[in-house]
Amino acid sequence: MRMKRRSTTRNRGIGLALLLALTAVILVLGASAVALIAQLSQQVSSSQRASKVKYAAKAGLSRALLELSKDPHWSPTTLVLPDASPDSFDFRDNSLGCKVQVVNNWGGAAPVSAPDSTMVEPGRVWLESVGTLHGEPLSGAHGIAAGLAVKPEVVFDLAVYQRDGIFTIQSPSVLIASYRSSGAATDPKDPAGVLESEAVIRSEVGVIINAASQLQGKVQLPRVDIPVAGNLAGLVEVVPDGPLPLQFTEPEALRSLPHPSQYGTALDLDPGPYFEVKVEPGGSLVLRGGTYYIDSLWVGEGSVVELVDVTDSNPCVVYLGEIFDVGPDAEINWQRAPALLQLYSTDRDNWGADQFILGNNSRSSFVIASDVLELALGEGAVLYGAVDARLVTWAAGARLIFDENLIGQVLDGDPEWVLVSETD
Amino acid sequence: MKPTRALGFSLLEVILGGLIMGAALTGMATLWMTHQRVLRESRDRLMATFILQSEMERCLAQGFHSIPAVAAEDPQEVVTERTFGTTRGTNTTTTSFLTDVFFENNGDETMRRVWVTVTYEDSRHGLRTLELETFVFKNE
Repeated sequence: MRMKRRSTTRNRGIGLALLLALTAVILVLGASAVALIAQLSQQVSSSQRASKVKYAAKAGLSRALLELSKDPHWSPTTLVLPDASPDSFDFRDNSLGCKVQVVNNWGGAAPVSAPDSTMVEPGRVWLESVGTLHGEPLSGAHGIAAGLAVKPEVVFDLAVYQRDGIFTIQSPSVLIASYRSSGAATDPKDPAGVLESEAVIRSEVGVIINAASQLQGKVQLPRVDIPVAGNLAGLVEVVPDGPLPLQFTEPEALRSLPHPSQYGTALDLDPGPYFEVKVEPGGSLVLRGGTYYIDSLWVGEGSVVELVDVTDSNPCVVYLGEIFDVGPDAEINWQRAPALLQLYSTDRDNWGADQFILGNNSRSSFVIASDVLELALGEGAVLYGAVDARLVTWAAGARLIFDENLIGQVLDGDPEWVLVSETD
Repeated sequence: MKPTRALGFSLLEVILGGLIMGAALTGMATLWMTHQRVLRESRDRLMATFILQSEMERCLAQGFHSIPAVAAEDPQEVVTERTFGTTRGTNTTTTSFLTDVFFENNGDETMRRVWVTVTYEDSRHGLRTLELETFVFKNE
């Protein structure tokens, strides 16, 4: 009995103590769960904030490109958005903003150093945009976008640069070769005999050339593992970086002018903007040295397009909009140096699909460029000059003869700023 | 008398302990339910943020000139399914996210403000909309 009584007394309150301990453990677990929930919620919110600020920073880079397109020397100490600019936007979300730092070396002669130690080559602009929330950047490296803005030079060092898809010639009797324009008013362009050609074609993804067609020159590829098919052994060279994208828009000076249309058999147009120009079959069109914008240009069958008052320093530069359709047997700047007629496609809305056509047996001499251009060479069509396009298609017997005088020559097209090496 | 008093105290212990334990378990149950809800909300919000970013990247990848075409494709519904195991088998819950793309041009149409929204049903807040915005220059 004594023993039993002692035992009961000793165990008195032990159940409560155990329960309290257990409850404490439960409460600690509960508190941990609460902390975990709060942390999770905070992480999700922070990921959302990081996204918002990231795109605010990207908006800063876009705004910088807008300013550069208006003034290539634009070089503010820091651009802070929102700035209530009438040409741009403010953020819909008032808490968002960004600060853009600019190192403009567009007109410079030597490389300059950017705050992140990048060497900014002449002709380039270093941009760094930091997204802000309530005027403050996020901690860590969140919401920073940077890049180099470049206004590329228009250079045709390649006979054909196809920027997209596999460079494909499936038709027979296609010839790609080169010649050297004499610079004389008349330019004999008949690559008779065996040429020692400097014609170089470049593709980023692959080259297929029909065995019955001929490339007298080289294939340039970004990497050695890019597939090539055709009689191209020994003709492949690897150059990692291709030319920068060439994008064009209607020149600012022409945009506000009236855009008349002209139709007829004998047209003589002064430089300026036009909406539609249509040369009837068998007709003629005279273009002069200077800058044109033509939204849609049709050159009828057997028509002739001639250039007058053009020189190397005053070429005919035509920005083309939606359509450039050259009919069969037509002649464009024939027997003249290709650099005298420079065509630049501005058609970004339609991507130039199937609208830029050199008709069957047409004979042309010009250079043409745009990263959205799709150019089709009809059967037996001959083009002297060079092509920088998104896509080129070749019908049987088409010939492209590259003018070696173009190598290293900076032409007159005014391309848009593009952003390269963008990081975020 | 002493053993009897000791037994009475044990009863009090049980009652008191039961009350405390009950309160703690009720609290834990509430906490567990809250945890599940917040977890689901967070998952949905994270998924919405992910969808939002994907949609914005799609717009930016297509470029300035294709933004109207991308906007015309929306609104689009994205349905996510989550399957989880229980003692009685597996349960599947679905959440529906509605994406939409909007844009507006500046005066000379050289820049577009693009904003993307994702709307979904949140158990606590009802319909919830998240938004991302940026500007795109004509060359991009």
